[in-house]
Amino acid sequence: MNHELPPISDWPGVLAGFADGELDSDTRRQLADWLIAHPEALAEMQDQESLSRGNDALWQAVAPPLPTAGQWSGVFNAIVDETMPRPMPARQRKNSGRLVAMLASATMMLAGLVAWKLPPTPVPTIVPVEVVVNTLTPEPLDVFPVATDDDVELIQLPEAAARLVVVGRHPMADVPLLLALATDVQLLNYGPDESGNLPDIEDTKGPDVSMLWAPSNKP
Amino acid sequence: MSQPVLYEGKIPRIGMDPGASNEGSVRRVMVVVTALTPNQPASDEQLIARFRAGDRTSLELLFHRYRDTAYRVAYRFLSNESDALDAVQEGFIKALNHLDGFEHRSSFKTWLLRIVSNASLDLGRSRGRRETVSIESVDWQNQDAALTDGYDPILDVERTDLRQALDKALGELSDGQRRAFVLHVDGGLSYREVADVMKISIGTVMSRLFYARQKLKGLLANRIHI
Repeated sequence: MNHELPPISDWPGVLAGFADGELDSDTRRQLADWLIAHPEALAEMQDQESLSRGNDALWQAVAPPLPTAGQWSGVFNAIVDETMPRPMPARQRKNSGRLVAMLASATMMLAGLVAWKLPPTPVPTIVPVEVVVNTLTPEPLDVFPVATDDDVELIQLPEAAARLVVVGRHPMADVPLLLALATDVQLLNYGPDESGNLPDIEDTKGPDVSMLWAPSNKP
Repeated sequence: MSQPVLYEGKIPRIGMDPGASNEGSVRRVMVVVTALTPNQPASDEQLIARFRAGDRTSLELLFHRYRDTAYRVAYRFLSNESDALDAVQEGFIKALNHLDGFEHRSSFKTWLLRIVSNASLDLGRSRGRRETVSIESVDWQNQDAALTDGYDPILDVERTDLRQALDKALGELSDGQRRAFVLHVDGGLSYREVADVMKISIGTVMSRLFYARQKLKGLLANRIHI
């Protein structure tokens, strides 16, 4: 037992550290012993504890008023405006869109000419990309094939892969799902869908912007 | 409240398969994602890296993670909801626009709270601490019971009075004592983290917290049981 610690008046911070559970075990034990020998210091100790962060009743009672969802939203939007890369101005986007539309028109005219000269071809059909889930690797990976439910026709589902298949909405409901960084993805090609609509790719500047798109209404 | 989960992964290749038949002009694409840490929230470092790469979702997750703590700290310095939100906004903007100055010796939370507390103090100085209540004007009836054992829910007005009394008492502390106290109690920072934020020793943190509590007790003891 160490009763040689300095008096609390010379050593006040240690009481605060004790009340907050911030002391190492040796110092804590020393102080506990010292308090037994100096009960007059217990009142100060209790004062420290009553205003420590462990006093839930006090801190619940004095919690600040909560901002509304609208206020938080305003703050967040201001932070986005000041910290995120800005999207391309609308006018520039419009010009890009016009160029794409002109190219698409020219391509369609050329395709029309070629089609006029050639025998009719079968109606294009959609051939889904096969996703192979390898469950036999030495260290199996958790894999999420992600697609909308009408993109998928389950032909065969090995039992071992059943837990890996996700069809429809992704499992985190309302939380956006970040699939990969742009550097992880190589876009080889894209084209019009079965109705002839070209994809509407968002034209943004960042290196890891969203690369998902929806078919445009404009052919 | 559970944290939202963010997955990341590698997408091998998507788009037209060069070896496939050319029949048809469209291939619908399915994507295979490898989940690196399923059911585990992304770390601050991961979110910051993605934010720097332009990912808004990561910024949103980071904001949700720390907005409440930042707000509590700012409010305690400013005693005003609107000013506290301004300080939180300014703190996040400064922290995110100066990530190059963020030394990874400390956590993002510590870095953020350092900036938010500085912003709050600056804002407080420029606007003047809003003295919205006098400590003598508080109705202390029944406050004693609220903070004794067997805590009962108290009315909003009583909570407001109590909060304002504490805010007023905090205003009586020196800047150093108040900052150490608020960062530890409301910011949830350890002594080591408070010492890092304030660039003082742990012994000084202990000492400031001790005297801050002694003063607060002196200011509040006749009114509530603490």
